[in-house]
Amino acid sequence: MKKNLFVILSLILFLSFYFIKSPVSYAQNDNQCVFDAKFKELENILKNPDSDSLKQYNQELSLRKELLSDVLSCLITNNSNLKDNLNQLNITNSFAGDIKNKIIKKLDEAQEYYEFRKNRVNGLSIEGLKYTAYSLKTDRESRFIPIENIAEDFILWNKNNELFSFAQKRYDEMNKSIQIFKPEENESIKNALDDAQKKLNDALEKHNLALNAISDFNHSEAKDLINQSLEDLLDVYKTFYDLSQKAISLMKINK
Amino acid sequence: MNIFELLKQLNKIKPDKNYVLMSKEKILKHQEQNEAFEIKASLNPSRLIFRLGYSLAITFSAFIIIFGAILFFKSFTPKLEALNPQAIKAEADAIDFQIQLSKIIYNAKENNSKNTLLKKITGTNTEESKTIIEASSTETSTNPVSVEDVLDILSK
Repeated sequence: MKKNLFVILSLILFLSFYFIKSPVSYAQNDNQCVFDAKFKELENILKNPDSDSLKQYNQELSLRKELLSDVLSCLITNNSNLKDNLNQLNITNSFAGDIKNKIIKKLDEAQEYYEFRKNRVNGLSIEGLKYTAYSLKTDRESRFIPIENIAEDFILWNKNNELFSFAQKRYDEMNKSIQIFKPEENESIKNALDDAQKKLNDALEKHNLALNAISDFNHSEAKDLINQSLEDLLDVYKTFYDLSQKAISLMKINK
Repeated sequence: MNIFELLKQLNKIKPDKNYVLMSKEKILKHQEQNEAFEIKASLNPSRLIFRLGYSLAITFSAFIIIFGAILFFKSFTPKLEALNPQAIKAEADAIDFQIQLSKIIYNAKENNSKNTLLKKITGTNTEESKTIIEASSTETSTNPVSVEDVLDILSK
């Protein structure tokens, strides 16, 4: 009997460990963009050239092709992941929906560009590979990195949007609850309530301005506004907390 | 004729025997017919459906009235749990974690790790985001070779 119980308990324990999603899995990283080994190999070949120039040329050519191809594959995957992330977002606002579509369109252009370059890698000479790498670098700096940054801003903004909805809901419920303490007769409660509303409106304004900056593809402004709006929202919660403490102390007095 | 004698005669009046039998038969037959009709009518499908619909409508109306009244009173009763400091603190923690997450994403050098983080915050709840941030902050920074580093060396 005891043995059976032990077996059943072990089975339950094993199943719970097996089926419960391990939080550690979030720390795992995709290994599609790891270039360290080939990068060092190329560095080594360039620093210590082989005396046989033909051998040196072939080694360098093959390594450059592999590296450039790997970089383009990584960029294609990252671009596609970014698009997937955008598509998974739950967007309720039509303005935000339009921005999302605009960003996805730009990411599609980047995808076509990377795929076109990748298809041509095998037929290139060392000079051709150098030129392709250089143009890829400059095109990324001027066109594609800004799009990636804006896509990231938009994903963060959307997550913040949920937090702002929670804050608005919290304020509305607190406002309703606090009415039993007659804020019009209690200066301290009234001031705390007004302060919370003002701070929430200010934070919300920055949050909305961040979306405008994203729409204009202005990453630096969007990033600043996203960070500021979040800091301000945290400050709003400090006011909410103070307000709740005041309400609790009033409840204790009235008891 | 005296009125009392007349009344005594009236007392002797009796119905015709045949008429009694005929009336009795008629009355009993009518009752039988009525019972048969009622049983038949109660088994009529359209009447059954009507009765069922009627009772359902009454039940449904009663439910609506009860739930409506509960909701009505609930909406007018202030929710004191909205002032619960623990709930407020939990929401504030979620914002704090989002601030940390933004910092990690904006400071991440490699697109790959950014993408992984972004992928994992999309569609996850706050608790899951917390785990992601905690995991990211415990990761050792090895400074991997970035796309930009590779393009640098490849263009030379």
